[in-house]
Amino acid sequence: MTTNPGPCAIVPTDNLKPEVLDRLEAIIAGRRATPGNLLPVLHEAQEIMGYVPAPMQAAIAAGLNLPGSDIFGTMSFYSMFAWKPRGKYIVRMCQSPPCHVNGAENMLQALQAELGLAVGQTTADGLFTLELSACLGICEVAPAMQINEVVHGNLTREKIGQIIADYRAGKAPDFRQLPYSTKDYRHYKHCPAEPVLMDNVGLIDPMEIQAYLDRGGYGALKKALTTMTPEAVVEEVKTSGLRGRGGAGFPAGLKWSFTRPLTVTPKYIVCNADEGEPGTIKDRYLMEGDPHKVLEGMAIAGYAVGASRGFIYCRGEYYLSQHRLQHAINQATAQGFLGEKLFGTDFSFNVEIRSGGGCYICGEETALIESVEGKRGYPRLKPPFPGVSGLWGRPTVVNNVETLSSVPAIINRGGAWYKSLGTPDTSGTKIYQVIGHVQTPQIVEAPVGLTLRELIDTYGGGLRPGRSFKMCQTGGASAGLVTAESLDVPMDFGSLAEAGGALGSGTMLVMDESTCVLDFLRAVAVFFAHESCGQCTPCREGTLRLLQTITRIYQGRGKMEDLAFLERLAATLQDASYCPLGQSAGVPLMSALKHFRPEIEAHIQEKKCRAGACQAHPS
Amino acid sequence: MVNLTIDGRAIQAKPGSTILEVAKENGIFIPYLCYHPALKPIGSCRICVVDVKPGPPRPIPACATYITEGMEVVTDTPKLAALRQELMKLVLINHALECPICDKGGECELQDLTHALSVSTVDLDAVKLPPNPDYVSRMVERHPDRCVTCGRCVKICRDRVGAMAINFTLRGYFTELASGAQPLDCEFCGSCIDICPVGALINKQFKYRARAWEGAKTEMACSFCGGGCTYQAHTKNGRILRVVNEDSVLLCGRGRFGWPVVEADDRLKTPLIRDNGKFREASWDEALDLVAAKFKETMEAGGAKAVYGVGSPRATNEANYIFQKFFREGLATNQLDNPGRYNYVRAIKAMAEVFGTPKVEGVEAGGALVPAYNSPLVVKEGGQGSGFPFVLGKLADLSKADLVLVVGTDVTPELPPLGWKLMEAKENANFRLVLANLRKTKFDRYADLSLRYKPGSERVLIAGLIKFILAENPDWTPAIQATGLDELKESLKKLTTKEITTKTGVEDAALKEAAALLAQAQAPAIVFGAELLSQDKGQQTALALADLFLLVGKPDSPGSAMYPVAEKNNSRGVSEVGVLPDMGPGYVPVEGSDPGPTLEEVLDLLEKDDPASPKALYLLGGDLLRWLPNRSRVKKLLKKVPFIVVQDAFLTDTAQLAQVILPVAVHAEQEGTFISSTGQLGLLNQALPTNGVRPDWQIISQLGVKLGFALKYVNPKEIFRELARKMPLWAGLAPKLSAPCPAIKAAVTGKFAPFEADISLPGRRPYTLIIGKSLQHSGSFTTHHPGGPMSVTGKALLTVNPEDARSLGLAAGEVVKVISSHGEITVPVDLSAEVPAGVVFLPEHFAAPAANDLTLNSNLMRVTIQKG
Repeated sequence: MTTNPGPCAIVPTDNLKPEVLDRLEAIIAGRRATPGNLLPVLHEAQEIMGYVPAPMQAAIAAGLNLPGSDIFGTMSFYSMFAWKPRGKYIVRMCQSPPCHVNGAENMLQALQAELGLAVGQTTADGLFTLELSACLGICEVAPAMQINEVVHGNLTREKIGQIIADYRAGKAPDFRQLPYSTKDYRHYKHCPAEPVLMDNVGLIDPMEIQAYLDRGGYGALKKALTTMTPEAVVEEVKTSGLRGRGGAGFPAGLKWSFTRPLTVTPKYIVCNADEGEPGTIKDRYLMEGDPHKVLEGMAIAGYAVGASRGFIYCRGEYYLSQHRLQHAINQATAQGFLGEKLFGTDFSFNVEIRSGGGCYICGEETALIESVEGKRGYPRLKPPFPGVSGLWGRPTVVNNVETLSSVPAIINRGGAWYKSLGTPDTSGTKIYQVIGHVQTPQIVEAPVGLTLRELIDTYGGGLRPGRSFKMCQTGGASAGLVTAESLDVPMDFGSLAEAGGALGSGTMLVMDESTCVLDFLRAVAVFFAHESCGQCTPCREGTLRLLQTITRIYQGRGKMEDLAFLERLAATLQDASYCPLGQSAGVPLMSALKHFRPEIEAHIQEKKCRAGACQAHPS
Repeated sequence: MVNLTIDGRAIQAKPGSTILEVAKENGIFIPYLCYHPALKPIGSCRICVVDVKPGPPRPIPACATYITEGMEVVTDTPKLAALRQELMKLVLINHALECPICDKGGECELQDLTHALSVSTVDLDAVKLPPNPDYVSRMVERHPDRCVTCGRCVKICRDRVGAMAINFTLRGYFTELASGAQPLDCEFCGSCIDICPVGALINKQFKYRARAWEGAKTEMACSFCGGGCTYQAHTKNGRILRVVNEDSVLLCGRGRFGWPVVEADDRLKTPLIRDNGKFREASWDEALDLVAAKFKETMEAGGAKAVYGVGSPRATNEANYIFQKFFREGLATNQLDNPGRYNYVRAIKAMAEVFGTPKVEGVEAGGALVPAYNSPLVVKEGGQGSGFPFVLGKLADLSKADLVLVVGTDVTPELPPLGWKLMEAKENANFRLVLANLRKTKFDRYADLSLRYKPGSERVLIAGLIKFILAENPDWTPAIQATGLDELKESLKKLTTKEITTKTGVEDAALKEAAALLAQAQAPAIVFGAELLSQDKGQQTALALADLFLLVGKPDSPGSAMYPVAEKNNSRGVSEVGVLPDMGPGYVPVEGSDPGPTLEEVLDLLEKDDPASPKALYLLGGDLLRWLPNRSRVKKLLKKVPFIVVQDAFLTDTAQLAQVILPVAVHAEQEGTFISSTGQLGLLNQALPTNGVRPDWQIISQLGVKLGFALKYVNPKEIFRELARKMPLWAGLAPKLSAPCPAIKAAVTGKFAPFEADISLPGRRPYTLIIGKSLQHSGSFTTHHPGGPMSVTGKALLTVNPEDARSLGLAAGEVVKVISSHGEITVPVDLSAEVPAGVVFLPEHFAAPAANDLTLNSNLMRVTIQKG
């Protein structure tokens, strides 16, 4: 309060219509007490006009008592926020590597032609805005796009024409009325072994808690709360050998045991439902098909470590997951499975959903925590680890959806039983995902240890007729490639790492010989350059340099020195980056150079693409 | 200590240090770009990566890795060197190589690092980003294309300043430093400029004035507020180029950008003598002779008591000390006071009532020759002290408090360093900030509890806190040995909870929570400033706060103390060295002679035309007309004084009434010491020529000599030596240290003093006006030069709540008439929800409108606001 209003006194300039301002004020008032309220407010505010113009940003700053620099600084970090007018329908074409190898570029051209738009533009009638997405998380129906909340997959030129015509005719489906966002899980081929995670998916009504209860739901929570000490729960999970299913495979029980004894309060459980790793689609099936299982797992985790509050950080593109989870939270709270003094004990547990905003790095646990706090998703320095100092500096256990969903079964049937499943390296079952150039891309839950060959042949329906296996990117965009010699490696954390791949999230992007490795690398580089948060020098500068150089070779302008440079750069990224994103951004490249060097060199020396996939190169 | 090896060298280091810190201490070179000692590790540039065993398979950043026992660190291998070169190339590809015209040239960390790491070529190409320079913002020029995205500026703005005015925008390769608003609308402290390793943020005042290495550097204490910051003034050809805090980097806007006032066009250059109603220039000899003659004449006619002096919270300790000596020893009177009477002295008086005046035992003159500006007194074994100075907090300790209660104070404008320390305290997970203020301030964002009370109800609020603490804890025993608690309880007995909540407008749940936090706190501190003390019952409010501190304070815990704001650079010093009518140097009550009248009493005497009213006034700076309440009355009364001599740098409103004006040196033109608000001795070193004006001490000395007083001094060092010998409170003191010395064992006791738990805000006018401080200004000192602070805040604006503006039909910038019982002013308005409806705020610094045209005896008053 001085003659200079200073940074914290932004008075909203008044070119917002009164009805807009009223709605905005209601949103702000409703969220004022929410900690880390900026992202929820931005999401809700964006619904008013489809974007968040500067006066709205100023009003949010004033309403939340945040500096203006935070509003734009934060919203511009996330892909899903806009500050310029957009169309009624946001068409997001996925350009992730899985979609790319399935012809996303052609589909984008078709879409551009259909809409008469370049990327980033809006049709004159204000109906459509065309955007690109680094990954929509719908790889089983690649190539795919999302129009507002609704997924449209397995695109062809004809299909695109039809879809756009439907929207033009006012036929826009309501995502809430759809049974699932991509495919019916029950139509997939299932593993004969008993499922631990997917037992309810597709069989029960996810909008009805009774259906979950009828199948024994919340029994594990009751058992834990009424018959076990928190320490015993931690011990049981330790016994189970459950390793984190987000990608790193850190033992979940061990993680919990660090947080359990801390006396600092409050503590938090964060369910990592950001599922941003390209190719990864498993958590969506759990959240859409069996949301209570996720909640039950979280509540048990909360009891085990002494946390009474949980957050589900769900990626922004998963509208249906968020819808189902919110409904489940409401029902569970109404029926006393969440909330205060559960099962007559002193344990209380409440869950809140936080939506991401289109940002891969927010799957990294510390970036995720920053995001829940309403900030830019910059990873934090470790240590301290979140288990000691996480959300708002308090002990926080961050576990993946699949990890938490495994917990009810472990409590019901015992850690030893769970340990008996899977391999010595990685116990339990795993939801594998087989995508790319297979006949029937799908997910399958199987005891850990399935081989890639089994996955492709039995569940993926084999390669497309007449095609042969070339390579597979294991575990997500940040992992290495394996070739045919690794087809019989049991897929657990240790074995795949040894083979030069990674179990990661359990996704296997299968590519046949029609794939140009360089073209594939370019798609991976596009992804990392787009998703680098920009905090550290090597990743911020390096990922773009990687993309530039690969693109140059792809365009036929490569030099042999470029390869040495790429190796140098990949090493710099690996050795010096702040977080795993940068550290692994060069891994696919290194792996490709190991397996397919001659093919890449041919692009430079012979100006030739052996796979015949690069437009700039004759085959 | 932790044992580790760095490059094979065995090293012992403090636990909790990082590898980089230990390496630096031991002279081992590890390059870095984003690290800065004033910040927590950022870890973004990665250039400081080293190999560590045990540790991960990849190199890790030395800046963010804490040492552990037995750690083996390798800082320099061919692989690491190659990695660092590679990282430097990545930084350099997108850095606009504008070195010849970049102001950072010569002190650019990127330049130095490129050189140190021998990066001779950058064999990479780049996608060019748009340069997006910002030439529009005030004070700061921004060049995003030079930015290395290290994050230092964002961190200092967020974690240290707490302004959060700049942030990164977008992400990845396109990450750009920006503010929410374009142009920049921030505190304009410029800390981001000096922490920037490159030239992405440029100081507009310094730009193109010199190369970085050309300035001679002189360290000095800042001359504006009572914060006591130290900086290096860079000077060339007798002019300041810029000022830089090389330690913590932090300075406020007035500190960093306010120095051009030294070069203000309206500086007085020669003595002025009034002749036939007009001032004419005069020589020093003529002017001093005239003053001496007039003083003699006055004394001969009316006795020594006919001359009254007002010391200066701007002048050095040395000047103020010999000023009081001029009266006490020269004239043998106690006819003097200082303008702090209307704010800071009220805090001292109240605290002295509760905790007693200082008594120090066990200090003695040290034998050895002491360096200049070091106290010659040393603390003996068992030295101890009592009285209120021992509950006054030191700056560095504030961040050790586990609870800070801020009452009625906008911390940053009042004393920026207190704000920085609060930000530091916030890093401690157990720290709680309780803010009681009727208007919203910057720290509301960081407060654990905000109590928004009704205007003027501070004492009721404090009484409420005391009552709730005692109600919840019937057997409460203060940590400080105290008497009079029953009497205090008795005095507050009639005040009911309902009355407290009705009068303050604060819900009892919030009051109870605050009371509980205060009761639980292991090291509570209380911060209160001039805005509170300037109310007519400011002393009563200070008394209430002193009682509250006596109740909950734990002065044995570092940080648990009272922090009254001494607003100007030497507001505390002028009182400590004895420019008070009843106390001499070190707050020693005058003995053997009657205390003189206070400044307030002198005005009353003049009003009554009392024979005891002064016939001559000796004003050391201090624009009384501008700063004292009820301007028209003060003007009328000063006009009654036959002879006024003013020592000032400017022709102030008060100086206009003088017969003789003696121009003084300011800022870097003089040498001497200040005592900061938190007791730190600041040393001012001369870096500029005086160009004909003289330092205050010299003028007083010369005048004294002309009057035959023993006031001959060669330099301020000599004065300090004499002064410090008389100040047991300053035993062990030296520049940058704070009094009292921690070696003096504090034996604090207190006596609860009943206070008036009432609201003093008479009248029925619809709005409440607060007159207070603006972020950019320090008194009127900073308003004399159009550059710097004036370019940010160039005029007074009345801050009005948007709702009130709506009902008054006002838009921002419209001029209103503000009418009080005592006068009226016209002023343009500024709309902000930071003032609650019904309250308006006016900054005090500007000549027009003169805020004190409205005041009677308080900076808080009822007013009417009329459009047009």
